[in-house]
Formats: sequence, C-alpha cells, structure tokens
Amino acid sequence: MSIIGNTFSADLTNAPSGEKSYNSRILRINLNNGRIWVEEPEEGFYRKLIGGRGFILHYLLKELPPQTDALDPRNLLIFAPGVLTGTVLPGTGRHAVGAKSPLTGALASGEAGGWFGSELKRAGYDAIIIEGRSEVPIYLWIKDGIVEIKNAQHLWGKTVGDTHQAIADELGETKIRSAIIGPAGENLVRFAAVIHDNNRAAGRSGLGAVMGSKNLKAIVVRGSQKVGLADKALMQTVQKWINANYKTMMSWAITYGTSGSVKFNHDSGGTAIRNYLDGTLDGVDNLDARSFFDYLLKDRDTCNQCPVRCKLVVEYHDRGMDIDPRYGGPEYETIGAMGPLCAINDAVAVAKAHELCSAYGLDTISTGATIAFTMECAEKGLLSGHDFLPKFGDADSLIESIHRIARRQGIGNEMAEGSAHMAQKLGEQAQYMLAVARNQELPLHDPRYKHLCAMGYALSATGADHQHNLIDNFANFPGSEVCLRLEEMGVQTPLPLWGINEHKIEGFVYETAFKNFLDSAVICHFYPYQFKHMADALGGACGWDVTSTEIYEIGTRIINMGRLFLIREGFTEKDDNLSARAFYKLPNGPIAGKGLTPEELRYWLQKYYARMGWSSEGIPLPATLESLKIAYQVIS
Amino acid sequence: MKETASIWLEKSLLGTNSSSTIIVQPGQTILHALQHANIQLRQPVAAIVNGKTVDLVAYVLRSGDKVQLVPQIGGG
Repeated sequence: MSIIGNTFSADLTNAPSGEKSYNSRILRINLNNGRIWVEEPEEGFYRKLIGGRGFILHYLLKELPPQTDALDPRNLLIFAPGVLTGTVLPGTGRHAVGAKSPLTGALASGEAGGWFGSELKRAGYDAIIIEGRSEVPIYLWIKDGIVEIKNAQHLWGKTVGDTHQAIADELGETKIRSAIIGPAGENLVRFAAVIHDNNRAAGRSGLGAVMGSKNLKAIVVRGSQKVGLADKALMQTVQKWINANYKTMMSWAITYGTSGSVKFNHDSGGTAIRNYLDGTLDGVDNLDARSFFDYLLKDRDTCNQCPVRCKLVVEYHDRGMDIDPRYGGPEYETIGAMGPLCAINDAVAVAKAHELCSAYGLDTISTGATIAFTMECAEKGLLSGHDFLPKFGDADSLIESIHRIARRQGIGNEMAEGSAHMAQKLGEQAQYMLAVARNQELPLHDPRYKHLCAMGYALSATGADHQHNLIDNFANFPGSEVCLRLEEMGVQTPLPLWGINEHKIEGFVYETAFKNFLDSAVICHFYPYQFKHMADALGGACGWDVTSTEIYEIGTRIINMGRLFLIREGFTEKDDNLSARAFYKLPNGPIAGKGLTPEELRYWLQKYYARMGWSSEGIPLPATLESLKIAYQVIS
Repeated sequence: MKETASIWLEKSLLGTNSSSTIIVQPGQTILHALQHANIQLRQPVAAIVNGKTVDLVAYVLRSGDKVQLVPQIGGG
C-alpha cells in the first residue's frame, strides 16, 4: 500500500505540559501502513527517563521483541531530544538517535549537535518513534505539529548534501533542519550514520543502516513554537555560571576545537597508530589544527545556544581535489581514525575522507578503523583475489576504500560489514589484529593508555564508546571538570593514571552515570557542568525540586536499562571484553609496555559488577532494579 | 653544579603567547613542582618524561628529567 501523502496534525494550542521545557507529545509513525499518532506521557515519564538515551532504552525494552534482527522492520528508530534540548542553556543543542544496532546486535545510541533536536521540540514533539518499513523510499516532513509522508524515490542514491538541498528546494523552505542518510545507509553498511544538517553525525553503531532498512531517506523539520521554562530564575543561575566561565574552561574549544589535540594526543600515546602497531607517526604535526588551519579552514560553526563555535568548516580546491564546505570539517576522532590509525599524515586527504564519509553517511571512526584493519590484513597476505586493497600510508587507497565501502564494491562489500565480521571470516590470525569491543571499532582513546576507559569500552551497552566513559588522564589532573564532579559526589581526587583500583571504579561509577544523564538530557560533553548545575537546570526547565543525587540516580537507571537490553539480546559477562589487539603491548613510544591484561580486566569487571549491585554474571539484582524503579520483563 | 630537572609548558596551558620552561628540583612529584613554582594550568595535561607518559601526581622527578606538559582534551 502507498503511504505517500499520509498526514497528521497535532493541536499545538493544547500544551499539556504548560510552561515547561517538554511538550508531553511523542510522535509515533508506522511505515508498514502509514499510521501516524501521538502519545502524551505523564510528567513521571519525563522525570524518570529525561529524554535521549532514556527514551530510546525505554521503548526498545518495552516494544521491540527480544533478539529481533536490527534490519527487521520491527526495529524501532528513535529520534529523541531531551528535556533540556532547545532551552536557553548553552550546550543543549543536541539530541539522540537510537535503535538496535546492526553492527553489534546491542544498543545503538548516538548523539548529534546542531539544530535538529531543538527544532523538533519547537515543532511540538519530544521524540519520534518510527517502526515498520515503507515499500518505497519516503521522507518525513514535520512543520509545527503537521506531519506528512513524502515521496523520496527521486532522492534515493543522492548524497546527504544533495538530498538536503533537493528537499529544501521542493518544499520551498530554506531553513529546514534535516536528518538524512546517504548511499551508505541505503546500502545497509553496518556502520552507516544519520547525518544532520549535512555536518552533524549520529555516527556510531549503524543507525543509518536501520534508517535505510526502513526506506526512510530523511526527516526534515521546521518549528516556530517556544521551548518553555518552568523557573527562569533558577535556569539563569546556571546560565550565569557557564557564561562567566566558558571562555576560560573551554578555551581549547574556542581556539582550535578538538582538531587542536591531534599532536598532543599522539605525543602522549592517546592515539593508536598503524592499527595499534606503532608508538609514533612521522609527520603527525601535519594533522593538527595548528598546521592545517592556514590552508584548510574556511569558517567555524556552532550548535543551537552555543557561544563556543568549536566546529570546523574546511574548504579546499587544489591537487585535483575539491573539499565541499557543506560537510563541515574533521574533528579529532575523524583525524585519528583516517590519519594515524591508517599511518597517513596528509591533512588534505584526511579532510577529503571526512567529507566523503559525511556525503555517503558513514561513521568516521568505524570507517577509518575498518580500513586500518584491512590494511594490515592486506599487508600480511590474508586477503587475495581482489583488484584493490588499501595500504598503510597510502592516502589514495584510503579515499578509494571509502567509495567502495559506501557502494559495497569489491573488498568494500566485506568492509561494509565491519572489521569484526571480516575477522570472523578471515580466521585466527585476523582476530589478533582486531580492535573492537562488542564488535564496535574502538575510538581514538587508546585503551593501553586509558585503563578505566578500556573497561568502559568493554562494558558499554553500545560497544566501544569514549563519550559515556571516564577518560583516565582527565581524572589525573586536580581541579579538572571530572575531578570537580567526583569531589561533589564524595570521591577523593585526583585518581591514579595507570591501572584500575576500587577508588578508580568509584569514580567510574559516578562519571559514567553523569555522562549517561548528559546523553539523555541531551547535553554536550564539552561543557564543564557539574551534578549540581544539572540539578538546577532540570529544576529551571521542568519545575522539579532536583538534587545532585537524583542526577546520579537517573544516569545509573539508564546504565542499568542498557544492561537489561544487553542481557535480553543474548549478551553475557563474557562479552564484556576487548578484542586481542587492545591488549597488545607496544615495544616503543610514550606508552611502551603499558596496558591491562585480560585477567586484570576480568578481575576489575567483577569488582564493578558488585559495586553496581549486579550478580557475578553481570546481571542487575532485583533489589538494584527495584531501588532504581526499573520494571521491564526481560529476564526469564 | 646542583642537579635539576626541567618542565616544558605548552603555551595554551598558561594562556600566554609562547611556551616556557622552568627548572625544578628532583625528588618531588611533577604536581608538587608546579605547586611550588606557583603555576596554575588552565586545562588537563599529559606529562611526558624523556618520551614516556607518566602519572602527573605519582611520578617523582629525577635529576636530568626533561618533562613536557601538553594539553589534553576530549574526543568528538
């Protein structure tokens, strides 16, 4: 049946939540039959789950049948701002996107900056939950409460930027905010991303492939409603604090953004090199903002309500190469994955690789890491019968690999399944070259340097992730924002740099709870907020009397919900692990000989389970779930 | 000549226009050496001693050590 042309209209004059920061309106869309409807949750739903990852896990646990294939139409694709998204507080221009992941079989939950989430709130909705699969490509057009399913057959195959422009032209709307998949999502690349406004990715875990599997090319939004505040004076106390401090505390973001960290992360051992085999990379200075700003930087960009402008916009037309500024520019993780991890020190090639990933809709971390893994497999003769294979240090082969992955051509068809799937097919030798947790490629925070971060990779419900994690060296510096947060919760700081101990686990418990709160509210991790600031921000936004302890409990609830999702999808404590390459000890460089052993990781995981109120099998105990008010029927 | 160690500070850590090097006494941690020199850093750092990353709080300086302090920021 054709669902094109189906419409729905919500009455935005009816605001169930009154002067609060949420609409009490969740948009539901079934692409099997074109049904569109709205749920109006009670206040308790918002206070318990906050938004973002909290909403995503709630709906996955409640409605997705256990062990459903991620590309099955029954998978839910959820776009979820949080109760702070779209408010006046700096750092709240973010939203989350979630589903079951086709890369890991676990949770996919990624956050993107920009304006899409704020615009969705202004259009009258606190989240969109999409189920089913359209028979033909479609896109969703949402404007001030009105929802329409539109034909996207003419857009299928187009890049992200061209799709955004074509939709803006046909709607006659120059200021649309968009969530779009490129050819990679259409071709079900297992690490395809959803790209917002051309240059903001909900990158990790294959959300773009889930969107592609639903024949959903894009969601575009316009909204003109106000996001309310229940207590402006209370919100202003947090605003005043951040406005007085951000220029000092975030000076790094204002000057260079994350791209200014490339050289120093390399020098200290934070960035993995040549698929984790080398300790240093010659010419790494080329990849740092201090070197390439002069000839690549065109502009700086920002997100809703953010004065920092940390985002890069690069443009280049030389060497027979054009780099399109619509796609922004490469941040640290992208530079690390496309540069040092592939033994490449050419900033123009890395910037081009970033542009291609945005245009095709690919996660830059998994793309770069899978290419680096393939480079090593090729070097060691594990791959044969291909007309093309990438090579360490060869920038042209990096670029060619991205084209082939997105189009699933030749070796690209194997790479599009992710490095873990490749290693499984290639056998034992390839397994030793693999750097993943829960089949997701590791971010560019080397687990051999950052040992709590390594444990966080092993534990996360999303697979390896550096955002909802604790980065050890930040907690090793007295007065850092991490240390201030931990001190507020009674954890003495600084924490030791190397290894794990019970004191560090205590810090990890609080910091990961805070980060999971941020990914639900949804707030930028670069802002130096403390628990108390978030308590006041929630109070200002929603009118609740919130304490720092409640912020911790919300984050802990969401971590436990993620754990329940893993368990019902068939994961066990044996899957809380890192693949072999993460344990390889470097013979030279700044972190020579450093790293956890598998036995040390297992030992400290048991300590963590106990601290969290989980069994020795890593399963939350009934008393733990009860204390956190979690009630989902997922464990037999 | 009395034996010493040196600490090189990248300019953005101090908010100045150029990087600087201070001479410190061995036998104390890097953090204590910074505190004794009354130096306030603007952001988290990695401490690299003779090419190896060390614990800022625990590593005790030795005579002749050349320490580099470089800024550390998150990914994204």
